[in-house]
Amino acid sequence: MIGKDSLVIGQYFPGNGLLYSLDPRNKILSFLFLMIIIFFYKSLFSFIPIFLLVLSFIIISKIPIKSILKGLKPILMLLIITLFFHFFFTPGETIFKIFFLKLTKEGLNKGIFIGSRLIILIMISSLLTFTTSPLELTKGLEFLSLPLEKLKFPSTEIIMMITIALRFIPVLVEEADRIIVAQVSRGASFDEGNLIKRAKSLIPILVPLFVSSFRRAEELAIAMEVRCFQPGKKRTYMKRLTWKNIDTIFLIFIIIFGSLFLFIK
Amino acid sequence: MEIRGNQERNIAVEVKDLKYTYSKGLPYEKEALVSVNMLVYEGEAIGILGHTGSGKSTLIQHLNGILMPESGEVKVFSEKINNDKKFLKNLRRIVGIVFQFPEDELFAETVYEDVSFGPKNLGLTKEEIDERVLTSLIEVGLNEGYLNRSPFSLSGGEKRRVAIASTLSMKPKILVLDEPTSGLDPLGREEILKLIKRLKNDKNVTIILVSHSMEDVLFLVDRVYILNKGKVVFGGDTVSIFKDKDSIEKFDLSIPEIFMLGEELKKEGFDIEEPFRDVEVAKKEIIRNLK
Repeated sequence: MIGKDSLVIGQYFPGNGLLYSLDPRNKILSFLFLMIIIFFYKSLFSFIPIFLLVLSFIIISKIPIKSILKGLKPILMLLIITLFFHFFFTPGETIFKIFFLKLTKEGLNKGIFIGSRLIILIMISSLLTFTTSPLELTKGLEFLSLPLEKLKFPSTEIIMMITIALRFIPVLVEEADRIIVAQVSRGASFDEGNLIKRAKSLIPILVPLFVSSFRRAEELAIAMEVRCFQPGKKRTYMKRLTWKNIDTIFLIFIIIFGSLFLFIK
Repeated sequence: MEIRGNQERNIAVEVKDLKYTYSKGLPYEKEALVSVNMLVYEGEAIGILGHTGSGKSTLIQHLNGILMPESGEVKVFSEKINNDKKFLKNLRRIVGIVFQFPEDELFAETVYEDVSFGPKNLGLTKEEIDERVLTSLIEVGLNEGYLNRSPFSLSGGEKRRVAIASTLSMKPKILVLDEPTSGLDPLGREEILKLIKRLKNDKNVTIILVSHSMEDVLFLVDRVYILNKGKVVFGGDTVSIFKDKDSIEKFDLSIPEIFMLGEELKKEGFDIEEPFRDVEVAKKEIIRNLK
């Protein structure tokens, strides 16, 4: 079964605390800044304060470490491959040798450096999605992309599409779950036979899922039209974003904190 | 085992202290079943009532091993449900579940392909599959003319019947139906109810009916279990529960009109022997009184 637990990357984690009370625009800007600035860090030691900062954010937001680790799982393979290539294929002073593979001191340093950068990046981005609901996130993005409208970029339409897509992910997951349960009850199995047989076994899930998605899309379109939705028109919001003093303080703090370690060699 | 006067009957399903929690250990964990005890005899029809969120769906998903108990146990024909693959395959042959809006699960190009999906998964021969497809279609009141039609071109009631046929083609001994009549027009509803009753009377299929409709329950079911917040709060005879004003009020049920008519006539001094479970009974009793 797909289950609701497996969709961790980009999953909102209801709670409260400093990060939850911040404006989504602020969170997007601050975290984006952190993610960019760590690419300019030159030393492994610069990562330590950033790592501690992110860790303290995780702790004050009361997000279980288990969930963060789960979010890291998808990039585990990428991490291993990155580490492997850096460890063994960086020329330099050899520490030890297995067959043709030479572990070099430079490679070890570089590998750990890039590995930690990757981990911190994922941690920051999951911190953002853990503490910001998808709707808040898109609202923040919409506001931040408004200047692009001047350049004839259809940002409100695109954001509306993203909002609808995000809104229907849980619905789709639930629906898929329901259909899987029903087909399994009719004796279907998805882990038997060769690749072709397995691919074929997905048809009884995908067809009903498509059918219901199309139906749902049509219903949604009608409902939106009935409420006078017109693409591209300026819309109003029930919940407006409010930028508070704490947001300014937080943003300035992040910018100063991130820049402090830029020059550690 | 409690003595019920029908001890010679086999126990089809036994649920003992069943507990189940969704998303255990996460902040949004939800205790769906707290402690459920239930006993279903072979060949009887029982109803499971309860409000949305009372745990009905979670309970029925335990009956064919889709969900595994967190604690407690579920036995089907005296065998405890376990995680063994072969056991589960066999279990899903014995326990057929028709979920709510089963027509949403139709996927194939023809009715034949959809109804044969179950038997094919059982690995039967072509002849046997063909035979089963046809008999289950006839059982639900359709005919061979439907075999090559697309399920998506059928009407709502027909789709529902094809979906039920696709479970019947597994020849289940226990048939679990989750709201089988919801969203159907009165005629479609009546046909489905009669079909279920036929299965029970003619084929000795054990029926477990989950429903909001008191009319359906009264018409089909011998005994009811009422679930509330993951617990069984009432278990007993269908007719007696509708006679008991206290439990009707306590569990927020409604009395079917036809049943009420029988009770009112009785109060007026008519000689009513059989409680009114459906129009047929009512007709018979009233005519007898008028003679």
